Amino acid sequence: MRKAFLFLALALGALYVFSTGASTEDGGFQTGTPEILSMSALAFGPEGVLFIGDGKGGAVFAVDLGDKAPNGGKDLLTVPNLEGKIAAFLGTSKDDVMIHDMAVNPISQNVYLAVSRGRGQWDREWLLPNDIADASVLVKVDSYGALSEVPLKGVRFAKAALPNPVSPDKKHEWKEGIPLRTDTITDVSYSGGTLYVAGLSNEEFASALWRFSYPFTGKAAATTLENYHGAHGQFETEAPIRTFVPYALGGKDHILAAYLCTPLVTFPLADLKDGEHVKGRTVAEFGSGNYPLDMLVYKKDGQEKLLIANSDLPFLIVDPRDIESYEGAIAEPTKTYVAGVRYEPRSGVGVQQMDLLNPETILTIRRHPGGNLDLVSLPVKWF
Amino acid sequence: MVLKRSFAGILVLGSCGFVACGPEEPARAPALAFVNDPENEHFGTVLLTGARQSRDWPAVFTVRVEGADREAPPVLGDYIVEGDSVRFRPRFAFTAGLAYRSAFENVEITFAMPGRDPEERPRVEAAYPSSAEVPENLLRLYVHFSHPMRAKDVPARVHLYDSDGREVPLPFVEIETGLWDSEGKRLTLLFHPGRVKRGVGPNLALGPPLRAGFVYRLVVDRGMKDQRGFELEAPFERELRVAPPDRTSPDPTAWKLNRVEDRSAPLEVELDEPLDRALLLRLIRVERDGGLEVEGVASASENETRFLFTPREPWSPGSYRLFVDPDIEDLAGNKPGRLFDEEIGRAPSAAKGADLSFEIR
Repeated sequence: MRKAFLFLALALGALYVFSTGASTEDGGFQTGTPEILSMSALAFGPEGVLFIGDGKGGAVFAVDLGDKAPNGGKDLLTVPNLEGKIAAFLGTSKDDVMIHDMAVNPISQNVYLAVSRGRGQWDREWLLPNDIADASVLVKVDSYGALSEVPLKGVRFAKAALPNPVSPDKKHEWKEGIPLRTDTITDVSYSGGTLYVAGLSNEEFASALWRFSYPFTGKAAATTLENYHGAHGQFETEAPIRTFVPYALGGKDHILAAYLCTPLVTFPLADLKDGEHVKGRTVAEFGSGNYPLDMLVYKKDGQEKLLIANSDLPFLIVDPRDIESYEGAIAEPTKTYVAGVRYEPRSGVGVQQMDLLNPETILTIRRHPGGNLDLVSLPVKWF
Repeated sequence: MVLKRSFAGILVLGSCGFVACGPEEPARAPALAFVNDPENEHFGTVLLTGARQSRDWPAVFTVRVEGADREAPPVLGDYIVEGDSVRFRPRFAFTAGLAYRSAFENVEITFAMPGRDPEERPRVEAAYPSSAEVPENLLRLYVHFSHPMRAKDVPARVHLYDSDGREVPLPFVEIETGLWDSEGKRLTLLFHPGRVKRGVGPNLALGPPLRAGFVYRLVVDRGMKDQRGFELEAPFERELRVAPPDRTSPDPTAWKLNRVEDRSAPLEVELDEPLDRALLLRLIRVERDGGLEVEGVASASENETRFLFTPREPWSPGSYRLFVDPDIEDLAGNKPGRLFDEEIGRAPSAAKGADLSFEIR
């Protein structure tokens, strides 16, 4: 009897799986080949799951890489001439490859890069790799510095579509000939069961932050954003967040976001309601003519610090306690380009990508004065 | 072993030549060949034949970029097993101008992708002034390219060297994107006016960029790229022999208009000195007596000492006038009636245009 019951349960279960297809697995996972049109942004989630933001496809993918062998090592990882090695891997010269994003698997400390060919087309200021080409190859750099491709065929993955991403027909206002679609997804970050996605929606106020519960349930919360930019002397709703981190300020969850020309803006998570338009609080201006490229939080001597890598400025270090104690907001044009919360500049120009390799090491991809683009580890104790 | 490409677009050879590898041979030795895609010279695959058992192909059959980083992995691609041969298809097309090396066991071939077709490459078609001799206070140089060029290459790719081979520092006005015409084919190099003009700061501090009695070289590096990314077919070099400064204004009233004998022939004007070519071609117009402008094509010859105007329609008999705009300049920026740098204390005079009449019989 008991056996028969078990059989019935199995049969019903099989019927259920069969009738609703592969997507019935928890969180919509299925095994196959995800149709990723562009790897615009990368971030790791739990259990070695890599989130891939696909700006062109207007979706995010969770890919189970099966890369779960723990590595608690503290070794520094350095790969000289990373760009030359990627170029050789893609069969070309190093002036024709681009790295769109980098993410470190915190379990294995393996490094993942979204790469493309086509840098030869990069002929103007203010463009970013996503404006030039679609990253189509995922490259893994292991702890020995060896490069290999991560084939995205026959993998376990789940997909979630962005509600109302910016239309492919819309053109960028000041980057001639560039569709806004290249900024559909500018950054992704996972924290506490939620995947956060920054970019451009098709709403009147385009700048958007989407939130997906992970495992994916199918529904995303979307909020459009606005901030006051002191260096430009105006409220901005079109410019997307360039890089951000979820972070608790004064015990309350926030998004700390940096924008082009470089305001730092805070959004309390509690304010980010689905379908609403939210004004952030601008707490600092770090200078015009600069893309903030990456942001992370490191911990030194028990104190957390925010580190920002930039296209045209050195490293900027911000003490979150200074943000907490900063009262008011920048809401008027700034006479100089710098205002608000203090920051500490630190040597580190030319850093294009950044992530924590482990709690004691910051991994960077950095263009050195000689021209080489290297993978370089920087011990946290140096900061 | 060096590979040769045949005209048929295939090509060759591994450990054995075609003869030794004939189909009648029972156990073929492994061989590698680059096989061109007839549709596109930069696409192709590498074919391995005679490998006897299946393997972990990416580990044993590799294609690498020649001269690449030694620690780089082999080129990324797919391995397609076809009977007893294996074909490597790169994920991305092979790159023009690069060479590749493929290896399997002790067999090795190299193959090179053709470079950019030289006929397609940009070149410098002309530079003005045409004359090898220029005044010390030369104001502009023009470089004409065959294709629209990348604007931003100018500061890094255009150089002026003195007779000792030293680069003249900052000879031209520094403009990040260069001074280009709307097509991107004509580059204007404007000598720093503050260095050319006597008695002003940069002139006193650095001196004039060119000095009479010396020979300079204008060089455009081969690395200057056109808008498609093609480099110049060859570097460009022009010698400039520097004569004393020109401190006289051009005088259109001294120009000699040659009689037009053939009605479809150009009007030829002998100038009193070489003039700035771009301004010369733009700032002279021809009118019929009643004021109607004559359409036609302006050109210059004899080192810009001769102006030619070819009418679109043959000349009709009658009276004509040649209007010379007061902004026309000689090589040193002097306008008719007004020098580029007047002596201190002399009130600058207004530039004067001219109005020269001629008859077509």
